[in-house]
Amino acid sequence: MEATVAEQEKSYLQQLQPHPKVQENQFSAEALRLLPQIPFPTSKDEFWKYTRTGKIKNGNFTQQAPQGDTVAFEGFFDQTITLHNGMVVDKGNPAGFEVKTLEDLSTQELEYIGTVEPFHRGVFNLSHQAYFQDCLFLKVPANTQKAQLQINLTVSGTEVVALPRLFVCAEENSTSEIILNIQGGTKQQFQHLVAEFILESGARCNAYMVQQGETEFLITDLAANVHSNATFATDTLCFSGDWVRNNIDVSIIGEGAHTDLRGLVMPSQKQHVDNHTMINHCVPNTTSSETYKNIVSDRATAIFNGKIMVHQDAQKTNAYQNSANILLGDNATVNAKPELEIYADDVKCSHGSTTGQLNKEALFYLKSRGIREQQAKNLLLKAFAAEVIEEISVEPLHNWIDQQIDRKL
Amino acid sequence: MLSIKDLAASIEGKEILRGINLEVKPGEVHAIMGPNGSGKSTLASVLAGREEYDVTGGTAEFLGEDLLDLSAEERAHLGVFLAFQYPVEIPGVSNVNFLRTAINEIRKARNEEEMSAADFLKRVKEKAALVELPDNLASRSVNEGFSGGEKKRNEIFQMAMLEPKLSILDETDSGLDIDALRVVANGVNKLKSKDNATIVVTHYQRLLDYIVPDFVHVLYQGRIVKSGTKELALELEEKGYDWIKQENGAIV
Repeated sequence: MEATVAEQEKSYLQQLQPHPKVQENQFSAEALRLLPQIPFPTSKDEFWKYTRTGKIKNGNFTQQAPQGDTVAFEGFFDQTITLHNGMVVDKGNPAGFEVKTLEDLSTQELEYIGTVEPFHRGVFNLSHQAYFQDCLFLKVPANTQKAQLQINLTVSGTEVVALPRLFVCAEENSTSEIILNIQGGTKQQFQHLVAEFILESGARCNAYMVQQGETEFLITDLAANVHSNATFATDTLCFSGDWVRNNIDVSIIGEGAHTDLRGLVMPSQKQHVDNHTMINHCVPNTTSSETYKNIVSDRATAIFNGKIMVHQDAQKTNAYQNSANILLGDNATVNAKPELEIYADDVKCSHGSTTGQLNKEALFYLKSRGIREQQAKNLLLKAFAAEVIEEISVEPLHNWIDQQIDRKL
Repeated sequence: MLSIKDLAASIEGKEILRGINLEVKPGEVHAIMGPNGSGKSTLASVLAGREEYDVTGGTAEFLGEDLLDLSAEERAHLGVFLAFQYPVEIPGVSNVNFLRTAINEIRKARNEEEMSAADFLKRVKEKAALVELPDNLASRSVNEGFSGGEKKRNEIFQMAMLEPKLSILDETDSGLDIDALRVVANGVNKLKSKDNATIVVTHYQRLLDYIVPDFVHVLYQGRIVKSGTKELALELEEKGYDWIKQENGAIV
């Protein structure tokens, strides 16, 4: 224990100050108390087996006020809210949403923050809970239909850590689409987003994580509690970032609920992208479907670790998971690990994982018809990604993905 | 149009072609026949630019250009087309999107304007009818879930769409029933003109009842050991390949 305390003293966490109002939240107060005893993960931690955190720990990060102009954000939706260095700088007034920030939250609302708990609690979750400085608190009122919102997240400054916090309550029978657009940033920046979702019965929420930022380090924690007959869908679309770690935790806690997790991840050069997902089937008659596609080129690394846990009561669970990976270079790496943990006896669960190169025969076939190699690869990769793309209902995202694939080739 | 001299090629160090000589002029149909393992498909693959094969000697000129120096796509731009023995299934790439890309890439390489959507669709309709390709096959993923016959029809459909100058049909008759064979052959015959040429690679004489060759060449152990007219194909049908093997037994 002494060793870990000593280690903590050397990390950037020592430079952070908790926000007084956040400390009124019991989880935040607890996190602050626990933190000195929690070490940073090492390669011995299964949860961090392929991803090193030393550079973050040893970084000289501080929390800083937003500086300068913001980025020219991609316009996927008309309604936008912007968070800059973790602070809500442009709250907007989007139709279909009730918007609050930290200063507007009632004591009761503040207590919600941190209740949608991730499966793995570690130094990053706890430090976020302890040190976040602002919060975007969204409510989609009951029976609202087709509420659409784009949330832009960006970072400025050097040696800066940004801790944006999001809490979404999709009330009964509402439908909403939220794009989390991570854009801008540069080296020596660390952004950690924590987003909590509560889906009340019959609600439907699609969360799209658009990762096109250039911050050196990015962690996202997305957790959802899905009540009866609700559907939570999320797409992780990752095309940028030197070092990215995405954690998704979905707890299906009401009968008839469903979740869809999809990912399209395309690291190149020396980028490192690690996706961890966890789906908890806690009650009977629930379903989940998960598809992750990694396209890895140059010396880049992609990691997929997807776990499905079917609890003892969760009879008649139907869970499907698939991860498919294409390696475009001899020095590209994929680590794929599907995991099933089943404690109920009447369930249908399947998982599969494939890793390979572009089909050479298909490539030759296309080339023999006059299609240049680059264009042929482009066609094949878009076909490979189609399973993910076709499920996306936001048309501007299709164009954006096409552009990203073109850019990467 | 195509002039092959002493062409030799190997795969993984194994010599397959050992000096092929062949002259093909516009308007001609040449049949390449031979027993299994004689190098027929290798010849087709080498001409189309399949990279697994190493050309170890000889030359192949097409319309005055050194064919062997060009990539597969550049050969297609010049007007070479290979109908595959085993057409590849490409899930997620629609036949139509694929062909449109191919046509426009070829046009771009020739400094021509892209084909308009209307003209393209008109051509799809017209050429699909030529090989009796059902409408829905044109819009489905390339060859995915197609029957053997549908795949071969799709090859000829693509050939019709791309209007090549030299078409090489690699065992197009394999796996076809007699009705499908007739449809495919009809398609090929309708596409014939005085300006284009066809090389038909086949093991059996059967296809040549429908696509009548001007010349028949027999390939054996990597060389053309006999050339003649369509009567040679009939003779092979009657006698089999054994007499060819006996006549040429001394070669190796």
